[in-house]
Amino acid sequence: MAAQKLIAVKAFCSYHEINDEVFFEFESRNLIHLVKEKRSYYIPYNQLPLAEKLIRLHLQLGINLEGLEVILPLLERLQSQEDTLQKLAKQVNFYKPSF
Amino acid sequence: MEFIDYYKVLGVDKTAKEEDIKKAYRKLARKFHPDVNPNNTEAHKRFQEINEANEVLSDPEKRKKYDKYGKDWQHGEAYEQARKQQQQSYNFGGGYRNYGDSTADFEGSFGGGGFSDFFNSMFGGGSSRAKARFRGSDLQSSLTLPLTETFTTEKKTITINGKHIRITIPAGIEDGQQIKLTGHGEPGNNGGPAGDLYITFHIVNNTEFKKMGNDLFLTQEIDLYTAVLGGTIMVNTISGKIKVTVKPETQNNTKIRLKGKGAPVYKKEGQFGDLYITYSVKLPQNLTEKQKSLFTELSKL
Repeated sequence: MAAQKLIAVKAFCSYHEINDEVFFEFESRNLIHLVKEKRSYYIPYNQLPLAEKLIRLHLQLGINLEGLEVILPLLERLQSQEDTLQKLAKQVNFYKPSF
Repeated sequence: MEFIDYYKVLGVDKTAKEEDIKKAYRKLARKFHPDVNPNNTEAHKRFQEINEANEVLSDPEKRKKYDKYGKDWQHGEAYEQARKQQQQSYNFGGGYRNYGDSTADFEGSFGGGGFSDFFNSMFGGGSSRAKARFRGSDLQSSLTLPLTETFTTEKKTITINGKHIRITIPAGIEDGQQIKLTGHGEPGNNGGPAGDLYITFHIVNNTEFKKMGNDLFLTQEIDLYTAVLGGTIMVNTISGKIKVTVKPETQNNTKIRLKGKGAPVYKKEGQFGDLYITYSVKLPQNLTEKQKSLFTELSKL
């Protein structure tokens, strides 16, 4: 099995100069999945964009944790609907008669 | 370069208190933030305007300068003096992210970042009051390619912010697909890494094929005699013409599949989609008397 790239929560938080407690709050609400190894917590590399987004929404826009629980699934749904829309637009284009 | 009324942008009065500005900014930022408006370039643009207005009005020094020289920014010694003072402070292009603490104002600039010409000329670029290091803004760009150029891996040089970047575009890239060039966005600040450059590809079909995923579709005309009696025809593919056998008594709109003759699969060398051919039987026109009589004879058999 390929090794998973991990970023230490402490390193991430110190880099962004934020309190790491916020990440444990995110995890307790299933907003992000952290990996525990030898008493330290890590953010999987593929969840880095999500971690940054959570920080922007929570700390910068001041959206509280309850708000994040509502907004994140809605944003996901919005993205998935936009993907579907784009796919359908391509299909419509495909079936357009060409004279 | 036009004067920008930052009070109007935030929808506040000129006498607005710091708290009112903060409130107005947060309200608008929540509405137009790129995170809550994915793929909405209008919202991104609006967010940058709001961000710029906040950058000025939430900083007492900048606000004072803006109130004093704002409308006459192009004239006067006072403006020049103000500009010189500004040049001594931080100077960088693309805005920043402040992750300092939960009560900090949001001052990030996203998605192609940057401030208006008006802002840059008056304040000398986006500046930071925070000491936090931050990653540079991501940049968005787009590139239009003819479909034929997606059939092979292409190398191209693009120019972003005056810098030439050589990129490799893998064969099979799709319309609307985005590739990320790590570290080619705006530079970071206080030791932070540079942002990323996102290039969205727009593919223009310059071929007779229709494309769905990796499969290509082509309508091929065949004459009545080939359809009835069978034969061979030459068919265009992306790698040149190939010979195809038409079975006797082929019906109009019959479809055949040429395996592996479609478009290349993205980042899977040697893998291709299929080419689907739809036969369109063309009936003869301007028949001679002899042809007419033979068809009549056939119809009576």
